[in-house]
Amino acid sequence: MSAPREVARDDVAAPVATPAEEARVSPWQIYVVFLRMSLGGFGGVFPMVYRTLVERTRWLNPTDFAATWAFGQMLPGSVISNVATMVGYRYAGARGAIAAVLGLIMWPVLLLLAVGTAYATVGDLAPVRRALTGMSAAAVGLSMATGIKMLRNLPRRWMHFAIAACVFIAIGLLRLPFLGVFVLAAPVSVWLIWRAR
Amino acid sequence: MDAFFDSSLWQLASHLGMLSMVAIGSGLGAVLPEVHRFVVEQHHWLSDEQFVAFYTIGQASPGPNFLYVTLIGRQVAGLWGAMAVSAAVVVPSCLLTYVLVRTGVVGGDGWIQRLLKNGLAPVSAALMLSSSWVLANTVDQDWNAALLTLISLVLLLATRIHPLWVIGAGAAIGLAGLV
Repeated sequence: MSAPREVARDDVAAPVATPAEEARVSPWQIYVVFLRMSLGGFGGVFPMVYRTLVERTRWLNPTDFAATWAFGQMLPGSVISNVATMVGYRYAGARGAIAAVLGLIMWPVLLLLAVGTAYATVGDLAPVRRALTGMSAAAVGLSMATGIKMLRNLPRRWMHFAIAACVFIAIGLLRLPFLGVFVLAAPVSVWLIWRAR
Repeated sequence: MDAFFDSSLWQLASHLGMLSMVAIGSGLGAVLPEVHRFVVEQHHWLSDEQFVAFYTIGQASPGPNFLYVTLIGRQVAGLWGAMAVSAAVVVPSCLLTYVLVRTGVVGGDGWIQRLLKNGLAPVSAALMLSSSWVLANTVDQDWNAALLTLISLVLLLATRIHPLWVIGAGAAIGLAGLV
């Protein structure tokens, strides 16, 4: 087992303290902060999250932020709502967690309901369809750029790229069932990369 | 009760909720190919064009990008569909996160988390690329659209331009009838 060496090198700070250790913030304040963050996050909330939690409110220092974000990625579900749950809990317990998640999604969901209604009404009009086609083509570029950035962040080892290539071929090109591929690929990938260290 | 479990609302919400719990290490953008397969190819609830439009609107509007599923829910089962699907993708994973934080499983030792993160990184990247490939196949039906995608990709990789400007420019180019 070479895992402890990994810990020493990485020095991940425990990001999640119990509520009692932190200055208490009211659930309402948490709700408002996450609300402003989510409504400011056009085209992805990540930059807003960092600016808000680290620079503006200073609820997290940069190390805490990195660790919290990593946990949010590791746990199932959307990264940002997991981060909201952790930060909300840290500052105001269960009520804080609920306030943070509600602040994050409530108004965007209501806004999307209105947009969806508008789309149902005018979505078939030619100018709307043309604009959406152009937007979509650009949005695909955005999605590709995210994937390529994730690929660029992988360690420069052939094993990582071979695994990525296999999964891309299975899901992207062959369109094999997602669940089957994921349930097979995830443990194999973790095991191979652990072995190869 | 059987009628409820047969309803499209329940099928959609439960499937997306389940997918959100599987999306480990990758977030909800990564399960897009499966969402597309389920709602467009298997159930024909949406057309290809609607699916892409919803994804794009989700990217362009404020809030987390995964909320494109709210629009799918609205299309499939109206207001309650939108609410149920939004809750289905958020509540279970947040509850799990809460329990793990509460019990101290998350936040202590770093090595299991690091092992998983490193081990899943190639899978996550591949899932993200698969998502964009599925979208590209649907959207880029002609050379003009493919070229616009390519320009947007290069701009976003090579400069620090805000994504919303790129999507806005795409809207203008589309409106002008160039794609």
